[in-house]
Amino acid sequence: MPLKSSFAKEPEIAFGDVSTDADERAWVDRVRAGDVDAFEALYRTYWQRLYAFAFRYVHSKEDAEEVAQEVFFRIWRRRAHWVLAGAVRNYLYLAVRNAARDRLERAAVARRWLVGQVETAPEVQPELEAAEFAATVERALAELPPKRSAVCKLRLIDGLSYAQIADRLGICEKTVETQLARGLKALRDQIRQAR
Amino acid sequence: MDFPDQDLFILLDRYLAGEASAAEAAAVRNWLADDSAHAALLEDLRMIKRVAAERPPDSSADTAWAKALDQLQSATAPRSITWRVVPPHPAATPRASRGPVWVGLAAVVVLALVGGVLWRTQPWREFATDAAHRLVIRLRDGTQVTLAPRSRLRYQADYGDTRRDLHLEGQAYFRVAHDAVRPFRVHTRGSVAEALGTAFAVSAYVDQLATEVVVTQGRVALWQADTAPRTAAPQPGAQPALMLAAGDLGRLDPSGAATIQRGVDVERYVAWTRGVLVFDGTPLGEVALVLERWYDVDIHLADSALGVRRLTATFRDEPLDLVLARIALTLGLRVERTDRSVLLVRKRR
Repeated sequence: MPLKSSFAKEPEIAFGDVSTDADERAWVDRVRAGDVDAFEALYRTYWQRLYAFAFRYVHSKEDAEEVAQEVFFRIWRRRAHWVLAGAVRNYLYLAVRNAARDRLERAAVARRWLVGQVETAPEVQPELEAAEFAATVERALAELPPKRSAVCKLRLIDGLSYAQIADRLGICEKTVETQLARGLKALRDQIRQAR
Repeated sequence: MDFPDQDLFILLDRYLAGEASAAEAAAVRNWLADDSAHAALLEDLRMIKRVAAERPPDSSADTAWAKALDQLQSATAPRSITWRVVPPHPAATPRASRGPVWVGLAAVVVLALVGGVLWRTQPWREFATDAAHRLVIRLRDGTQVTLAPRSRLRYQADYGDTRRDLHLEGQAYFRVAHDAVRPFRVHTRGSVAEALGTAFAVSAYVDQLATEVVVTQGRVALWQADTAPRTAAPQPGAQPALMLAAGDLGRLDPSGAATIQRGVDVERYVAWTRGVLVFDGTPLGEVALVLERWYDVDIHLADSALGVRRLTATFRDEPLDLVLARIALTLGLRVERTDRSVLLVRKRR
């Protein structure tokens, strides 16, 4: 009979404490003063999410990484004047969205130039709409409360059964159902809002 | 037909996944026919599922930050450590767990006296791993903890407010967010490892006598549990048992005996965070203990003398069968297995 021989599984990011907006604002203040450690904290906290968000627009790992890197670099270059009107999170996602769309636009212009056509705006629209939809879902999924996000990701991305999810996260199936239902509802509400 | 939200979403989720029974599928079709808005909901969920499944490939934050740091260094003066004393700031969002707002340096002194009482009622948070499970925990201040199997991390809800205290049983690797104002401490059964912004691993399993700390970056002060300072301001005359820098391995046991090895191969001690197990002249008894944690299996040695045989080998995320086969070959042993346990026996010639 075969032994259960799987090595300690790939670590999952646990639902530890997420930084609050107040925590992040404190980092922003420190960044403004030139504190590299605070910048690193922001960087690491947001990297995965912002990269994945950018990916939904540019569909390439390298390009998405460049977009996210560029956004952070611009923030650092103008850190002394970094003022936020609202939540740090909103600022970052908006900056990445703009940068990603810029890149798409530049790529479209380059294509037009190469091919010698005059591409009218509506032709670009459907692609962009699809990207916006995907990006909205990506962000909404990442921003769910940690346990809910974990349950939804295991279901939607890994396709696990409720029982498997319960086992993996050490919770009961009833909780899986509750969290999944709430998550799906939240995702749906987000995309309706974004339309 | 009308379903309470939760039931509806679960039903639709199962329907879209092809897991609905015939009766459930019929219920969905009826529900769809009731209202055109229902079809829109189903379609939205279908799209969400499709989009979510096309997940972006992973991108390493470590690599990204390393690149960013390069860029930064050319755009800014070299980083220096600045010491500023900043009073605890009032929270922008009210939190029930915060005490009254303190202002000024006096706050630090008062906290030292009152701290023990004010914060005793804070709820605890806990993360624990089973055998064959690793966990990565990200904390509020940006610190990242990789928890090895069969380990437990605990901290109070006010972690990060004025101090950062974690309690560990087992083994973990810490990448600590720099914060000169809030000292970072890892408490094990007999010791306290204190650091500013650094990266280090702590090993303090229940079946271990001593606490082991390996520093990969920065500096760590290792204190005996009852002598560690409770506040940011150390008492006069208090000395840590060991001061460790990058490349140092410190061991502190409950009796106070402290040893330090400098210039160790730190890779060997943190390779497990990447799924690599390194044994370097390790007694087989200890090898067995480690394998039990990482593979969720019971390993017995046929006789106690086998326990002192030494193994030097590196295993990268390999199935247990292969690992055992290699060990058996290297040490001239035979592997006997039952359902969930393994017995290592001397080979008879």
